[in-house]
Order: sequence, then C-alpha cells, then structure tokens
Amino acid sequence: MARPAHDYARVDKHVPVTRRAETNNPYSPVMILLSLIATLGILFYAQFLLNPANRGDLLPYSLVIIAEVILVTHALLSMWTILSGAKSPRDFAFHNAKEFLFDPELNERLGVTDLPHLWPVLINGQEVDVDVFITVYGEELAKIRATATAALAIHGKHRTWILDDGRSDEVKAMAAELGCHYVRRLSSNGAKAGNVNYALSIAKGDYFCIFDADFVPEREFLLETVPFFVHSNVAFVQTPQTYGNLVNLVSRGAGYMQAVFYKFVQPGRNHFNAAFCVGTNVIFRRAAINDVGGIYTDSKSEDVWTSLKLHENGWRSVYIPKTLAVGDAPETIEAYTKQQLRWATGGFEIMLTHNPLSPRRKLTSDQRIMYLVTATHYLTGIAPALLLLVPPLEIFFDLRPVDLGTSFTTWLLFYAGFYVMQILLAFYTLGSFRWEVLMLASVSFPIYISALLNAISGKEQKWHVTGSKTQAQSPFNFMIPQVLTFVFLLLTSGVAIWRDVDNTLFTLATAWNLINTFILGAFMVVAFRESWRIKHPQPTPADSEVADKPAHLTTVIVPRELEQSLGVPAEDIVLDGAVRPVETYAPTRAAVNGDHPELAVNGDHPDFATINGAAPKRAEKEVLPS
Amino acid sequence: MTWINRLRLFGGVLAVILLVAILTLIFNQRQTKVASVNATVSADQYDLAAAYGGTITKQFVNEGDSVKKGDKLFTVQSVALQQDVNQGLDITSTDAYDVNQKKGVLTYKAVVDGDLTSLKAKLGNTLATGTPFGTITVGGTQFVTADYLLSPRDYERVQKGAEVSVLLPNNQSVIGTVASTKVQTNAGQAQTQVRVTSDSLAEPDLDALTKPGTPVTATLNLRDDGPLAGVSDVTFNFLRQIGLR
Repeated sequence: MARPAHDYARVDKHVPVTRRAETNNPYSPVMILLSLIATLGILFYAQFLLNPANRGDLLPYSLVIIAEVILVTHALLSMWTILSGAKSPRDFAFHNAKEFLFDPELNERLGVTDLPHLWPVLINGQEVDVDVFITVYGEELAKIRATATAALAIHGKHRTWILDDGRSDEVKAMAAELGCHYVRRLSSNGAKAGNVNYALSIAKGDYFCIFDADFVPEREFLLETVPFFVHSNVAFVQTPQTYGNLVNLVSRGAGYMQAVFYKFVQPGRNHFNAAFCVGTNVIFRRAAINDVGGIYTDSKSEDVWTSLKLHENGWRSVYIPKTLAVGDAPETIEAYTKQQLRWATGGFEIMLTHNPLSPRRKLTSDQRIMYLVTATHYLTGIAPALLLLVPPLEIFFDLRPVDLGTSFTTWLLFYAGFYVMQILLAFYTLGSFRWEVLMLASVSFPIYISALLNAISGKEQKWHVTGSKTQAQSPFNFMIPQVLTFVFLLLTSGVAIWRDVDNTLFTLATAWNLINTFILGAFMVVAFRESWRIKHPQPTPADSEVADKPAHLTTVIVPRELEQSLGVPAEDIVLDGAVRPVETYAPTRAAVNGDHPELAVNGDHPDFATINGAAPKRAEKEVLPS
Repeated sequence: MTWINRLRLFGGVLAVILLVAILTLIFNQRQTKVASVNATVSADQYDLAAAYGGTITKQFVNEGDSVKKGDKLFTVQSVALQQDVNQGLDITSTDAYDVNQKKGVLTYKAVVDGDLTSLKAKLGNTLATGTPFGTITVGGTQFVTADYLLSPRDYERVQKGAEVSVLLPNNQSVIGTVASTKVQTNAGQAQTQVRVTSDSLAEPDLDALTKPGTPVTATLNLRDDGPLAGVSDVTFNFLRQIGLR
C-alpha cells in the first residue's frame, strides 16, 4: 500500500482524487467562458451559412440550412439551460426539514432505532405515509429481487409494492418471500402509467416513489427527496438515472448520451420550473397526481406528459443531480432502439398535439421554452439524415451546398467554430469526449424518423420479431434502414473515388461521404458483434450465485485508509501485490453517491468505478446497494 | 433475424443497388457532357468594302433589305478611279461592282444572296477606300460558336462530328455536330471554341431564335471511354427504343 508523501494526519475523509471530485465546481468560470466562445462560434457559423454570397445549389443548401438551424438552435438553448442551473435547489426550508425528517427520540420510543427502514418519516412534525412502487414487466427475477431488496431497505418507514404487469407467479412468490406487497391487475391498459394508476387505487400513501425494476435505489432516497415536500407546491422530486452497466459500446453511448442531460440540463431546467419526470427514481406527491387525474395514460411517454400536466396546473418540480438509484442503460441495439423510439415519440407527440407555445397552455414563458425544447429535441436526431444526403447529391448530381468560390479553409474555419467548440465544451464538462455518443447519435435517425411518423399517424411501431420477451433478437431486425443506408453510402463512396480518380481532383464530398460510411460501418461492426454474442452465449454463472447477488454491482476500489469510514471490512479487500498506489484511483462512497454522479459511476474514468468486475485487478470491493 | 426481416433486408439492398446503379448512369452521362461557358448563333457574313473610295451618289438599298446576287447597292463618284483612268489604267467591272470609266463612277453590287444586316453608308456619305461599309449575312448558314473550359483530358475527348445539343432561348433544343475546334490554353485549362453546325438552325419557323447573336447553351458530348460506356449506350438505346427518350 502506497503511503502519502508526508506524515501529517488527514483532516478529512478524502484522498486527493475524491477530494477533487467533492470540491469540483461544475459551473466553473472556464466552462462559462467556453460556453461564451462556443456561442460566438455558433453565431459566426450561422452568418457564414446564411450569407447569400456563400449560397450554393438550392436543394443541398436547403438541407444543410434546415439541419444546421435545428442543431444550432438546440445547441444555443441547451447552453443557456446549462448556465441557468448554477444555483442549488436546496434552500433553508429543505435543510431544516431534512434535519427533522427522522426523530431519534421517537424511534427510541418505538424501539426501531436499529431498524432504519421503520423510522417514521416526519414533515413539519407530522408523520407521512410513503409507498415505493417497483414497476415490473417481465424483467429478470434476479434484477427484480435486487431492486426490491434495496427498496425495502430504504431508510424511513414505507411500504414497498411490486406492480407486476408481467403476471409472473415467480415474482409473486419472491414478493411474498421478501415481504413486499404484490399487485397484479387484470388488464394491461395504459402500460406503465395504467399500472401505477391501478396501484394508486390501492396504495393510499401521501407520497409514492417509482422505480423501474432494474433501478436499485440507495438507502438515502427518502432522506434526500422527501424534505423538498415541505414546500406544499412541490409535485415531484426527480433524481438522475445513473447507469451501472456501461459495459459495451451501445450502453456506453446510450449512457453518456444522457450524462449531459442529467448532469447539466435537468438542473438548469429546475430554474425554469420545467425539470421533467423521467419515469423512474422519482417521488410524487399523491395530491398533485390526483389533481391532474392520475398518471397520464394516453402516451407511452407518460412521464413527460404527466410533468407537463402538473406544470400546467402550477405545480413545482424539483430535480437534484444526486445519484440515488443505479440502473441499466440499454445494452443491446434492440433495447436502445425501443428506448429512443419511446422517448422520441413522446417528444414529437407534444410537438404535434400540444404546442407549448399556444396561448391555450397555462405555462410560464420559461416553461414554454423548455417544453418547446423537449418537444423538438429529437429533431436534432433527424438532422444527421439530411446531412448524410448532401455528399451523394454532389457526387451524383454536382449539386453543392456552398458556393464553389468558397475556399476549403474558410469553410473549415467556420465549421470548426461550431462543431469543434461543441466537442470542446462536452470534453470539458464531461471530462472526455465519447466517440460512441457521436456514432450512436448519427446512426439513430431512422429511429427518430419512425418516431415522428408514429406520432403523426398515432400508430405504434410494429417489429417483425418472434414473440419471445426473454430471448434476445438479432440486432439486424431493428436496423434495416441503417444497413440500407450503409450499403448506399458504401456504393456511393466507390463512385466518388472513381470520379475523383477520373477527374484527378479529390473533393470534399468524397471525404465526407467516406467519413459517413465509416461511422455507419462502425455501427455495423457493433451490430455484428452483438449478433455474434447472441448466437454464442457466454456460459452464465450458476443460478445460486445470481440469486445471492444483485445482478448489477457497482464495484468500487477502496483504499485501506477509507475502510473505516466506508464500513467495509478490511479482510474483504483483495490486493494484487500493491503495484499501484491504490488511493490515486479510489473514490469513496461519497463520490459514488455524491452530487456528481458522472464522476464516479457514470464517469469517464473507468479506473474510478469499474463495473461488473471488468476492471483490472486491484484492491476491489463490491459495495452492495443495500 | 426473422425470415420476413431477411426478405425486407434483401429487397432493400437490391433496391439500394438499383438506385445507385441508376444514379451512377446519370452521373456517368453527365461526366461525358459539358455545357458551354458562352455560346451564340453565328452565320456566314460578307463584309462590303469599297475598292475605290468616293461620294455616294445613288443608294439602292437600306439596312435590313434582302438582296440577291448582282443587286445594285450604291453608286459612288470616285476621284481615285478617275485618276487611275486618266493615268491609263484599264479598270474593268467585276462581280462586286460595275465601272463607268467615262463618268468615273462605280456601282457596287451584292456578291451573294442574303440580308443586309448592317449598312453604315448613306446617300451623300464619302466612302474611304478599303473601309467596310456594310455586311451581308447569308441566310441558311447559321451555326453556333460555343466556348468551353475543358481539362486537357476532356479536350482530348472532343471529337469532330460529336453530337451537340443546342438549347435555344425558348428551351427548345436542336441537335448539331462539331464542325471544327479552336483552342488556346489558360491556366492549364483548354479554352476551346467549337463551331457547331446544324441544319435545324436554318429552319424558317425558328427564324427569330436563330438570328446571329442569339445566346444559346450548347452541351457537348465528349467521347465516353469509361468502363460504363457500353452500359450507358445499351440503356439509352433501350430508352430510345421504347420511346422514353
């Protein structure tokens, strides 16, 4: 074990890396400066594109303008949102209510001092009833068990309910074994929203939490969220979705895609009073939901719609960027496609049927703008489709988006002003730039296009797959448009190279087309690997092992100095010859649970928190979520 | 993958290949064509000039008149002619003028059939010897002079007799052929002037659109020696055969 370079006693529980994480200011002046420079870059890029002197042929020019206007507008709005979020939503009333949430004397009197999950929850000295709902729809039993076990252990007296739309007798037996309430309804109308509404007709608590079956809550969940309800106008408190399974390209891409949203965008939206519910890791005030007639059932995106209804009725929403539950990002292309399709359809539904700018909506200007962003956000996912068409237009038809007279360097300069600055900003705010995110974002346009079509037609996407819910499907079932686009771009690249060799002139169109082909190609490789994995499944660990442990563990490397404060027995720590100074890599539990989840669990430092034991062998300890 | 998805994927890939094939043919077709930078209708023109200068004493025609070969144009009273005659030179009549040695006058005549497209001289003017005073444009000899900016490789593919499509101002196109080329080099590019002849230009109903000086666009077919030459020919012959082109 490496020793610190000095003999002074530590004055806090931290080691340098965790202390840095703890004292890190997400709204640092450098970030503000970068945002300002990025804004300038956007403005220069916009004036370059709109300058009539640079205008090229009408068709590709229009495509570029439409796509870039969408992207640029959303980039500007998102930077504005991010910079608005610097203030914490926790005020004196919150801290005061948190102080008195549990009453040790009362606990003593009731004889439950050692049973924190039975401590009465007090707001303004009054005991309140809390229900915890776990929505289940055919998930793996081990996952449900982990979530239910963790939910039962949440500090504060609460009732835990498993709402089983999967109608599994195994789940029912498990609920009985663990001591959860079990609810099964006869119909499955309204999907998840219907499931929760049905449970609300049985469970009558003042507050209810919702966790998806794969989101394992932390014990402090109620302690960190319930005190906000001391303000009688708070309808719900949302916490981030933190992913513990960033094990492959799809899950990393999908996970990091959300990182900016949960780390910066939602906190910013707080100040517009437009932070919206994301369906899990959330606690609602029962009275608020009653006020809007229950969870909204007419959409698959019940979460956003319910938030919108609550905001229209004047309720307040709170978002805290503190990880209080760890779950799974979609690991397969199938899961990713379905998730994005559901979210995007919800957004487009608002755009098409519930224009937030309409004078009929009772929203504040702040909320109107934010819901307009939500409603149109997935158009940014369609923009890449328009941009993919531009190089083939030049290759086959000689139609150019910008005037031939515009030199390559001029164009590059303005282009970099927008894109390079956005990447720099992402790099700075998230600590790294993830090419997986860019790859996944630029190949997802068929999903968003079908979401738009679904929202227009009001129909649901049909997948031509076998009916099995548990057996994994070949990813190619869900990506036929991407495969066809790839074939098209590949053939077009061939024609482009032939043309350039013929004309002895290398064109920008060829370069772009090759890049696009490469990106789509990378996605094809990902799909082939996934397909191969499905056909050649790894031998699964013995069932008993699965049953003993939650399916997804957050493995955290713990330095010996911190064992005491973390409550981890020293003998559990395995060393591999102490080759590396362990503490340089070690976050504490405080970092994992801290206000900056991405730094740890969701972070860009795989050395920090390694997932499912995939890390190099070092001193490892699995911090169980319960 | 399910079978229905395999079929969809297979059908989709076929459709994409077909689409790219069609686009490639279009692209290849465009590769063998080049549009003119500047093109205009021209015609054979004869300049009228005085062999002997002098004062115009009679004018037989006006600008815009049609003339036949041998029609009288002007009569000129020429001092120079009289001096030559006095010095003993024998000036005889030609196709271009009749000479009256006694009076010292010449009568200029049209040497070809055509239109007097310009006429600078008027009755009473003095003509200087050798200076052009009018132009006869010969009807039915319209051709197109088209300028192209070509790469050396493309210049090599310009063939005499190659088909040229001439787009008139009314968007009607007529087909011509390359009669001759002139070239000069500018910054490594071949500035090529092509003379395109076409019988259609002389058609009377296109009279207004084929006057010399009319701007047109002339699209030149270069020799297609790429790998798709045969495929293109087969495809376009087929389209022509079934009446689509």
